[in-house]
Amino acid sequence: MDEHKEKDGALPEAEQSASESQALHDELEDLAKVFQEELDRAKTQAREVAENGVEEPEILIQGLEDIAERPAHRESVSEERVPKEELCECCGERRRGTVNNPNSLYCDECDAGLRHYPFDWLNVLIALAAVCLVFFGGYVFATHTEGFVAVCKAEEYRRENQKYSALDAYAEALTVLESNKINAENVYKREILVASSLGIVAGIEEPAQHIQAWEMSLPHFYKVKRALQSGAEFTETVTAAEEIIGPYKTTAPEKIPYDDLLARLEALKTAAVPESEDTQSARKKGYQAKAEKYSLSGVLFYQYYLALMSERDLEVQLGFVEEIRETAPEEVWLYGHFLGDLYAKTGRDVEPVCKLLEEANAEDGSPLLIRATALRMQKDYDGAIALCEEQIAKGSDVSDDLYRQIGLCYLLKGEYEAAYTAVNNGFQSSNNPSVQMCNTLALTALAAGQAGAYGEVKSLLENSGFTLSAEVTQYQSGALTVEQILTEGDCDIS
Amino acid sequence: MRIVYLAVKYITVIGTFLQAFFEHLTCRAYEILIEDGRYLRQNEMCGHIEHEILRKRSTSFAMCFFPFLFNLLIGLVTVSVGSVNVYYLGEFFTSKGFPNFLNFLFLWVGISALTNLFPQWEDALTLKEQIYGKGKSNLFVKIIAAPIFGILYAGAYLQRYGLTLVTSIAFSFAVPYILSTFVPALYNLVK
Repeated sequence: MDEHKEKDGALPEAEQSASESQALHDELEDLAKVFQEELDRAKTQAREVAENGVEEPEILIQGLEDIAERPAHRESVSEERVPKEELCECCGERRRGTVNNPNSLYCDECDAGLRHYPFDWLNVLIALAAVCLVFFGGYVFATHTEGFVAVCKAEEYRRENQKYSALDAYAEALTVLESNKINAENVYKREILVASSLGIVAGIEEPAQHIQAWEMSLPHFYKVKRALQSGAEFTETVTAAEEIIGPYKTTAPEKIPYDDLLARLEALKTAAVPESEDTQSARKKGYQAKAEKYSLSGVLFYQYYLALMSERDLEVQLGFVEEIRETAPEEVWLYGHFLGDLYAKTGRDVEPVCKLLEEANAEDGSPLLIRATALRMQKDYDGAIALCEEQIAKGSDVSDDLYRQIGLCYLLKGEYEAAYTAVNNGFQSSNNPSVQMCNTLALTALAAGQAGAYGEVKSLLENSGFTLSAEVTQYQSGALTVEQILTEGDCDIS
Repeated sequence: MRIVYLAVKYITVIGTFLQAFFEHLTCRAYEILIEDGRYLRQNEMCGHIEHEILRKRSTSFAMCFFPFLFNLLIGLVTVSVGSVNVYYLGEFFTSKGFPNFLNFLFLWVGISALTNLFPQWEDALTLKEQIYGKGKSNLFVKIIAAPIFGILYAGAYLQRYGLTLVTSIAFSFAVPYILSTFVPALYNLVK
């Protein structure tokens, strides 16, 4: 072979190539044979399984494995096709981007789903409950409207400082609210405060019964608690002071033991209030203010009253009233009228007191009467008459007293007939004429020579358990003149 | 500040919930894509729905305005009942002496709804951009939208810091006095 190679170089190469081809052919044939054998074996096994079914589970397991492998295979295929960063953010399977928005983070299906994001049934239920609450709220508001409107009216009066009207309106509002079974504690509170600012002490405990006792300790009921406390103290003071000076109310001024009574009243300032059985039983019902001491302003008021009864000098009386103002400046209802009246009679400027009274209650007629008295004391009778007539024309609530002031001015002017007419008008316009009005009518009747009218007034007073005042009887006897009565002492008819 | 915001959101949870619910409702109505529909999350999105960026002006306005309107209506009714009964009339207890929880519930729901009136800050900014952005709207739209936009924008700003709780409580105090200016006249007219 080597020799042959050496002799002819081309032939050995052709022989070598042919042998390589032969080897490859043989190898392929061997492989075909192996594949055929394997295939035959697989077919035989399949046939055997089909015949007896012994190895079926294995085939099934194999089948499941095949199924499991398929997605992995497919995933790998899709990972190859769509990069992970381009997959839908919601499902993570499909390519992101929609027809309308190719840059969308979501696929078409997820995009449509997220645009119709489902409601949780519990959320819907809560929202429906809230809507139902709104409708129920409307119904509740409707049931409260009548009471609310009534309270608004009272509040309007209070804002306008018309406290008498406000008090009436609060009472009406509470009637409406109580009929609707509404326990409006703030309305009771306001009623108590308005009544207290007018000095109406009696009866303010009743609305307080609608407020829980423990609530009185809370800050928003602090003023009510204080008003009730002041009211209780004042009530106790009235009771104690009446026991002291009550028996001397009909005694002649000069016979009143002024110093002794004054000392007894003074002792009340430091005395403790004795606990009564009524207080104990009332306290069991609910909140009941308990007075442990007497009202200082109340004691001072009774000291002033004692000085008035005893016909002490105006300056002495004024001293007590000014002390009330210093002690309890907020209790204008207690001292305001008397202070103004005494200022008018002593020739002081009454305007600051009148303004104070107007600020406390716009419906208070006292400032008008004080101004009329001040003008009368300044001998400006025409001015006083003009003022009173102007206010009567406006429909003042104190028209009867204004007529009386007109009468006093006419008396001082010496026009007795006009004085009688004016006072008689006041008497007629008054629903419940005061003793002072009756005495003034009697005096003007005497001055005008109206004996019949004088007799009628005298009998009216006597039938009511009163007697004519000393000024009237002394005028009748000639011991006093009109000028003396109206310019000396109290400068008025008592 | 986030703690304050979340605290206010959870104190006024019913208003927070309702606002998110109405945002969700608006999203459904306008087919706005919602990215996260949870109502009460412990982050700045508490009480808001996370949605796609709004590109249309009308959608943006609706997303800000309708939840505001619905919560305002709920808030006004319930806070009126609650504040009149509690503050003005003082109906703390029933006529039988039991605590009147219903009135306090009305007050709380009302204050909660009014605390959560306003859109999330991003929505308000989007609305601003779409109304007042360069070349976005004509002058007429800008003027007409100014009052409501001003309210929504200022409210959204305050709501970021939980300050709407203070404003809604203050408003609840004022409600009886506001009502007293026209309800009596209206009542007498109807009666």
